[in-house]
Amino acid sequence: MSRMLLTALAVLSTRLACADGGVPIDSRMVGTERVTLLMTPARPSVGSARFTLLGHGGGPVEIQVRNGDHRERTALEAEPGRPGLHAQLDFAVEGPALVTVHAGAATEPLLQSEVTVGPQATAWMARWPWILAWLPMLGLVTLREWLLARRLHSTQEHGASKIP
Amino acid sequence: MSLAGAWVPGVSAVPITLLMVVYVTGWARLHRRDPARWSWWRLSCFGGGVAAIAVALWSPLDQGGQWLLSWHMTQHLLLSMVAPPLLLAGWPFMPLMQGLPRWIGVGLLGPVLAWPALRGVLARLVHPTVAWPLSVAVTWAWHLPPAYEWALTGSVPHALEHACFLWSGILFWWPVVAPWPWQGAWPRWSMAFYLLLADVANTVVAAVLAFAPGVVYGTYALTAPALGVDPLEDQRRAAAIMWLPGQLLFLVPAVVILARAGRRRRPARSVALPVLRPRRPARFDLLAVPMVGAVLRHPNGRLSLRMGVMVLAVLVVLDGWLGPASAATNVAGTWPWTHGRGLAVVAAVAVGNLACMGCPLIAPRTLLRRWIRPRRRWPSGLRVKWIAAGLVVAWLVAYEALGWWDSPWLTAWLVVGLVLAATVTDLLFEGAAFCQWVCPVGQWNMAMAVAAPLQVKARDLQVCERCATQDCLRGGERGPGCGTGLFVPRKTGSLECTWCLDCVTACPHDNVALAAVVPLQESLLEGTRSAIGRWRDRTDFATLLLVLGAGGLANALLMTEPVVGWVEGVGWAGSGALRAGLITLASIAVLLAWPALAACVGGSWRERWAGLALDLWPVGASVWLVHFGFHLASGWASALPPLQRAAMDAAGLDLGEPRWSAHCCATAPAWLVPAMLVALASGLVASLWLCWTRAVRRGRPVTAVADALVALGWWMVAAWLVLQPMQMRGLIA
Ligand code: SF4
Repeated sequence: MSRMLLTALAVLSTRLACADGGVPIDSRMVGTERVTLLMTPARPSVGSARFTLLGHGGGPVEIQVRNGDHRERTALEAEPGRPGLHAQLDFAVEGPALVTVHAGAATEPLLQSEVTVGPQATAWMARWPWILAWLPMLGLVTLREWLLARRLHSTQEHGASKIP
Repeated sequence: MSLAGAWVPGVSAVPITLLMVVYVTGWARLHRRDPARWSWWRLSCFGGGVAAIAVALWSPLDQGGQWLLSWHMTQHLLLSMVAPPLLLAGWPFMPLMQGLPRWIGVGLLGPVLAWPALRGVLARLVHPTVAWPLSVAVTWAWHLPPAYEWALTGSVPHALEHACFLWSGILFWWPVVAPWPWQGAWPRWSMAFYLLLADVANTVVAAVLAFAPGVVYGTYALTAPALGVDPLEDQRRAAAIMWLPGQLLFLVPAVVILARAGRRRRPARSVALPVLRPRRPARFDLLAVPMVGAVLRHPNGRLSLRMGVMVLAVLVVLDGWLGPASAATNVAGTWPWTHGRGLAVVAAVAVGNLACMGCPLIAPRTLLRRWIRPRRRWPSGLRVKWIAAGLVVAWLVAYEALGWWDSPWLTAWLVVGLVLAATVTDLLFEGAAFCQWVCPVGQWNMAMAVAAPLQVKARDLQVCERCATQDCLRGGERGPGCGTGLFVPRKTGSLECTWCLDCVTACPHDNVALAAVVPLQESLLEGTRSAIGRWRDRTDFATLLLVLGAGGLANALLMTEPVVGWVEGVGWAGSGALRAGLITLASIAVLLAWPALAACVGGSWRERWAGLALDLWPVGASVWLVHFGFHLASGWASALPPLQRAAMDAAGLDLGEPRWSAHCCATAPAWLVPAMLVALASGLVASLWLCWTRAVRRGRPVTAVADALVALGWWMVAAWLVLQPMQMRGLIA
């Protein structure tokens, strides 16, 4: 039985704890080094997305998103305790978007990838497991009530059969 | 990349910490009774298992695992081969059951855990013939490239993968560890072969990875080189981790089992079940806790508590009058609205009515009554809750219409007005007339404490039966009796109890406790209640409770940006603040109309209205908890900067440079919205259960449908508002 408690809590933990490293959207060899760009979430939707650049040797790097009429460009920067360079950008509209990484003053992009942006995830969609948290709770309470009622019923029947 | 990098506990910190707290509480109880069986070793094992999960999920292993296969393999090893046997070696069943509050462990989970069908399924799942193939299938299936790659595409598949490893690991290790009091179907020595066979299955996967000519998982071919690691080398390292430490984790227990089986040739003793005598644990009593209990029991201890809060109230008033008009930089703009309310609601749900106990409003009257004794009784015609219900509505409307939260000056006058009203009322009338019949804040505190785990109770009812003086009610030499007319042995629930603890001092037999109870237990009580009478006749009480429930929703609605935007856009009725006040009033009326309509179904409207008030209160209370808890959790850091500013302005006292950025720019913790939704879910389920139970007891189960619809309606409004962007009132925008 304790398994039930343990596993329920453990599953809850694993569901929540996942730090997302992202999926590679482009990668190429630069000299002898491989440079890879990762994006989170794997299927982007209207709203923000996180980008991580791994393997870049040094020097300033910028990332740009072109999505419909919307253009956004920002520097990829190091974060304490995490490898790689990171940035957060917004996808403004649904449809194709071009993500490019530029190193220094080079005109040619270092990496480039086209991604498809899905419709905006509503707060309801993003939080549905929590919104529906009452259903398993209610299931547990209902099961308990049913078991208690069944026990009461069988006790009464048992008691009644004793009456001569 | 190193393990010393960023650790991200995230939301999982809450359930993992809770799990450990429950285990330690239960283990400590069992350890006191039988230290040999419940040794420190058991605690260390369980703690080690929890630590292994924490390292796997919170450490840089979690993120690094998505870029390096060897890190991911280490994470899986921790989740499937290290954490499960350690958790099971802590013999978790009894400590967890003992550690949970009795009403959850025995009352809620007991009947379900005793269900033969469930026990049968679980017994089958941990049988070696099921657990072994299941665990091997999980390991193999998740190592197939499509599945492994899919797990790397996002947090949900990744979490599913981890859950599978942990679940199957627990099932697999169950017959090996045989956590007491479980008894395996197979002889112990057979578990050595069970482990050896599992090792073979594990070796197959490790060998495939070790000897593969190329990179098996495409993602790592892109990420590992970018980190300066050869992907094939990384893959071989992962295989080695799975092979060598993995093999050790199987072989060492196998050898130990064989060695023990060889030593113990005698048949096992016939005692298979716990030797512990089941004993009902003594009911927790806060007044019996050293130090805390001593302070609470002594009238001067309680007075000092109130005086301490009074000092804070004086600070609020002075800064409200003399400080800046901007709420965010003024003590009167932050402390009462962001911290005071939040702490009161958290204390009510976690402990009890501490807010009334420490209420500064009654400190002056407590002192002045040493010289001035009130002679009048509160008029019998006014011994109803209608005034209080009206004042609650007026409070909520004025809060919006006058923008109390935005005006330190008004807040200061509000505090002064309340202290004056309480002092004058209680110097004119006996007892706790102001708290009982007037104070809107007190009504809210007492109602919130209905869901509290502690209550003022008689320690031993037989002592009360022998008592001839009834000092707890009437008062005596030791002090005054209950100001709200509650007679402790007949007291049911928290309504009308201000936790003043006068009864504790008055009782000559030291027979009053702040005892652990089942939250909401009073909701289904029929019959006469002390100081209240028959609940079904008290439409005034019921209306007050419903007004508080509907008012909580209305008050929270006016915080959400869509509603605020709509109010600002409406082109009628004077200023925006006035419109907000009117909309609050209208919202309360609309939300009250739902239970009023539901009460028309099935029997006397009055009786149904009274029942609905108690049934809907859990949803209402959860809305208040979520609302004020949100302000507290997201704005707790805003307490210090206004104080630093006030100290410098008023007295030239340097308490440090105010960090206004902590005030405006702190992001709400990641666990907050999930926690809010879980709190609302708990309120809804409690309400639905009450609706059903009451309807069945009344012999009209159909009425439960109407009641449940109202509860669901209120919950839907609450869930909607939790998901809206919030206006951070009282904080710098
Ligand atoms: S029962 Fe009465 S005297 Fe005792 S704590 Fe409650 S309000 Fe105070």
